[in-house]
Amino acid sequence: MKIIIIILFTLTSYSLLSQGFNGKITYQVSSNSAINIERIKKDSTIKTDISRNAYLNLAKNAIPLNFLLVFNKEEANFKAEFDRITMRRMGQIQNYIGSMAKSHLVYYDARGIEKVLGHSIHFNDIIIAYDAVKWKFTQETKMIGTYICYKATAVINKQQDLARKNYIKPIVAWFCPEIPVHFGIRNFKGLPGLTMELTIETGRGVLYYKATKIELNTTEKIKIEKFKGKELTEDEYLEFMSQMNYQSR
Amino acid sequence: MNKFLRKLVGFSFVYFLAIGSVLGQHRNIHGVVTDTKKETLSYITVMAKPVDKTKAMKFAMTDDLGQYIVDLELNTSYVIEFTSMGFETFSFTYLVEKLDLRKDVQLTEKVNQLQTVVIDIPIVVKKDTVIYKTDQFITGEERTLKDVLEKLPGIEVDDEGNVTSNGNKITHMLVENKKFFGGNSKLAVENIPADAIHRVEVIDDYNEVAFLKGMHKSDKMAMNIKLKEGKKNFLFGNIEAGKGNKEYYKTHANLFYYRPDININFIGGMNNAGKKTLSMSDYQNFIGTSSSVFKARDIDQEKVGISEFIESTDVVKTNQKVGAFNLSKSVNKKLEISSYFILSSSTNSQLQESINQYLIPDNNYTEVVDNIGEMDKHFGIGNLTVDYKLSGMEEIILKVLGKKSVQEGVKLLRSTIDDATRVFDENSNTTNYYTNANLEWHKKTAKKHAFSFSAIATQSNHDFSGFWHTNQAFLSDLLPLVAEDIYKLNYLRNKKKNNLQMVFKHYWTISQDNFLHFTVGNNYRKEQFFTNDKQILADASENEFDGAGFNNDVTFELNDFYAGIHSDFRIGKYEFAQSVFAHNYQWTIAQLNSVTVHKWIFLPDFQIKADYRSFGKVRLKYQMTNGFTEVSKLANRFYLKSYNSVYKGNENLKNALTNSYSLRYSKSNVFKRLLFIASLNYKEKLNGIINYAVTEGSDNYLTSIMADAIYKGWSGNILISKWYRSFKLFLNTDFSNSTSLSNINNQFVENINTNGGYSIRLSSNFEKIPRIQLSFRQSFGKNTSVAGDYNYRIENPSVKIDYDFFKSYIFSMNYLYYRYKNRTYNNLNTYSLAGMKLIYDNKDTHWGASLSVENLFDAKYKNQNNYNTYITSDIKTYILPRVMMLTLMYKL
Repeated sequence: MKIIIIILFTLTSYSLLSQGFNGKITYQVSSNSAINIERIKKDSTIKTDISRNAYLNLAKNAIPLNFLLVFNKEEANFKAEFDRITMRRMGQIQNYIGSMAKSHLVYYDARGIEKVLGHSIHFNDIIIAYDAVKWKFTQETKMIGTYICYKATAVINKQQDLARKNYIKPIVAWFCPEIPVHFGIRNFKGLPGLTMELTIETGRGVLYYKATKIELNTTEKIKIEKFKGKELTEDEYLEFMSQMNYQSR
Repeated sequence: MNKFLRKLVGFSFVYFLAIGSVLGQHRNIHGVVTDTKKETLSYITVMAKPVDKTKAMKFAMTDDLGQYIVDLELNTSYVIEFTSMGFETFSFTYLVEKLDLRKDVQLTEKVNQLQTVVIDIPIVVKKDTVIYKTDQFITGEERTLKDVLEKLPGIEVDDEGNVTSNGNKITHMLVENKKFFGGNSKLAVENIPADAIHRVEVIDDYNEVAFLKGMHKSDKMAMNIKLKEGKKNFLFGNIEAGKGNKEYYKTHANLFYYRPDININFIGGMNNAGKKTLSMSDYQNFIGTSSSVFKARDIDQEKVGISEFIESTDVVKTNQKVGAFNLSKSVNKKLEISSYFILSSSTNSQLQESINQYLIPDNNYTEVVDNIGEMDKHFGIGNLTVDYKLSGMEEIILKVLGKKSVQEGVKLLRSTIDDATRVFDENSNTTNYYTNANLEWHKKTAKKHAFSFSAIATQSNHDFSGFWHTNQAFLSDLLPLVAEDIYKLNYLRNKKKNNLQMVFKHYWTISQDNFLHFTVGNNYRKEQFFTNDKQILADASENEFDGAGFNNDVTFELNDFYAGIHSDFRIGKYEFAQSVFAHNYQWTIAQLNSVTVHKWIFLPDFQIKADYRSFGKVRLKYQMTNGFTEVSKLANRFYLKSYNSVYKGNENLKNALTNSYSLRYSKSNVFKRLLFIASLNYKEKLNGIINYAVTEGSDNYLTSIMADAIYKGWSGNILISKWYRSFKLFLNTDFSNSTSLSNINNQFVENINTNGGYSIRLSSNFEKIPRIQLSFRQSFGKNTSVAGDYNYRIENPSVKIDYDFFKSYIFSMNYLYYRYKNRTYNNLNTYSLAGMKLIYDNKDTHWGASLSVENLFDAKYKNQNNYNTYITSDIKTYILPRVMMLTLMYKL
């Protein structure tokens, strides 16, 4: 199947750059079921066969999910595309890709702040402040369409709430310096150009983010959601989560 | 002032960095980036790529004033690149020496700006469309669209050819975005060859009128089949011919021709082995319908139900021919024409033996009935749809549908009561015409307002006539028969129906979650019913039954002017939908005397849907509906209904109001691998029409009367579905309890009907060993009526096996056992059916073959038990014997 990345401008490039701009980037997140299934089969942190089978079943029926990066000149949100129709169709069915890609989180990023903020739809007043990612830039390039993209990698060794969610390989991003969007996918910001592709591998499986639609200077009204609440570092958030889990147990 | 400050901050930032770099082993390069008009450019990416590729790259971006600064390592060569969308990349090589460098850069604008990128993904989820790239799911053993769909996640196909996606029914079947035989899914799933399918799209919230999307909630779902490149502009399909034991044979052909502007499909076949391409009920489903933008409340969709058409699927001899042709053509971007024709002809022979027990107080007897019949049926359907888009916001659709069917039947019936045997011989002729023309206009005037108008004219004519021969006088109290050795009766029924409907609808989208619709319409219905019954005497003279109160000529006219408002909105987790419609009815029943009634009725409904994240989904629905009876129940003189009953209508029948309530809860938890659905329904008929029967010996006199509170019933079911790694377990349990009213021999009788049952289905899904499906259903029932209690129990296990082996072979088998036990009368019925099939289908050749056996055990008949108010029947229906067939297949 061919997916066409459509890059839309409503203004000329000159005014685009002189005024600062807004936009909406659609990313499709897919995965490789075979890899995920292998990981689940080998995962020793899954204790019972019942839950292992549940994960396997989930991984088999995973559906690619769209995520949106919406931004204006100063700030941006990164979130799953959960409009009413998608929600109705997906219903309560859990999607392995959505769960790996943390579709329950909305991210906020602004020019000038170092940390990206994350807000889970499960907790109203808790905000996670993610530390900046230390990118390692390479000179490896590839063409995505007619754009030259550069490869950058980063090692994420922050502990996650479950051991199997830890990153087992460096994350790999392909970004396009030519498209001056400096907000990133999730909390993985800091690339000097639009992230066109991102591969992340955790103990649960592999995720591929691919830009499928790039709309710049859209006439669509861009609304950026800001969060109110208590800011926790990633480690504090882990602590908080483990307390919550303890309580629910 | 502000600008000055920013400039100051900017420069001091550059300055401090510059100082810092002088101190360490770093130097910088800085400057201002402008375009050719000397305007500064912000958001330009500056890259410094070391020539020594082991060293790290450096990046910077120009700020609001077009300034940049990049920190570089001493004594290193860099390629400095200035790049941004819309500008030619500017680059130069630079060896970092002792001092910082100021370099101002001018970029020139690029001309072309639209680029495309190609990426490969198996399922694409767009807003309301899921696209399956089918070759990532299939194994290559699939033969028809049905086999392909069964492999796609979330999609299921049942035995009747209905397709569901995540439990929701597909209402429109499209091929290359054009309706396939009017959107019928059965013809599509069984006939479209698997190897022609490129991708399958499931479109939620489907709208036949594209620009009305988002103006109202559509519960319609469409499936669009995209064909492979090579199958466009190309003829494809397959041809099959088979020969079986005895005289059994079958031929079948599916031919498809697709070009971007024209689609042609042909489906045809002949067989005498009981394979049905289209059944009579499928034929009835082809009716003229309005676009789905009109809801049930907006337009009174006609119901089809001509009882003479109900056919038994179990036959002892059959011969079927069918030819179906579909054509769609896009004349230009605005005009699209599509049309289909179906012709079918069949001959079926049936044999039934039944024992009927009449359980009327003071009139208890048993009747043994043998029934042999042969039917010739022919039907033709033609449809033409013209769709003209005046603009992107205005559309006119014209649909014309015509049908004709002719049925000729011979029936021999032998009834034995207490050693007295009566023989009836019936010859009947049925001719039906049906035409429907529908003109629709849709226009969107503004972003928030749109209008639809539809005018529908329907005309139908139903002629039913025949002769009865019998050796004994019957219904002697009512029929003034002249005594003869053989009685010959002639009957004639004619029903004419004219209907004109007009409806106008306004859509107002207040906000994305708030819709308001206004509807005004008028529905005029005229029905005429004519009956004539008489005896033909041996000397060919006629004995008319006029004097005995027979022969009807009645006209029923109904005008319904209505207006209504429908609102749809959402508050947080709750979705509300409600409407109220006001109907002004006026009807006249004209026969010997004439009755006119005038009435206002308000019909409300409401629905609340709630979607709780952890609790599940809840839906509560209430609806009040109003119905009118058919003209044949209004005719107030007698007509013969069957060999032992005569019917008389009642002109005092009125409309009937029904209240229905339903509550549904669903929850799925994938972690527990569990799907749970529970529903509870309650229905009450405030008033309505009930049967009134007077029995006299073995003769029945039937009429209909109005009564209050004639029906109330509870029903519910619970469905649980649970997955294991290689198994799927499905449990369903249902119950119903209803109380309905009838009148027998001038006495009101309540029938209490309680049914319940459960089914268990276990299916395995291993890749290399045969797939097995085991299911078991047990149901219980209890009826209480004048005749006392009546208890039964049914057990129904079945097995299905499918096995793909050696890549090109498929083996399948099915087995079904049916056991019926009547606990009140202590009788037991059982039968078992089985079939087997071996298919050879190699992808590399055009040829394929299959060997099949149907009715493996050569069962003679199926047993069934029926119960109605005061009659219980034990019926044996004879079926086709074992048929073994070898079929050759050629794929184009």
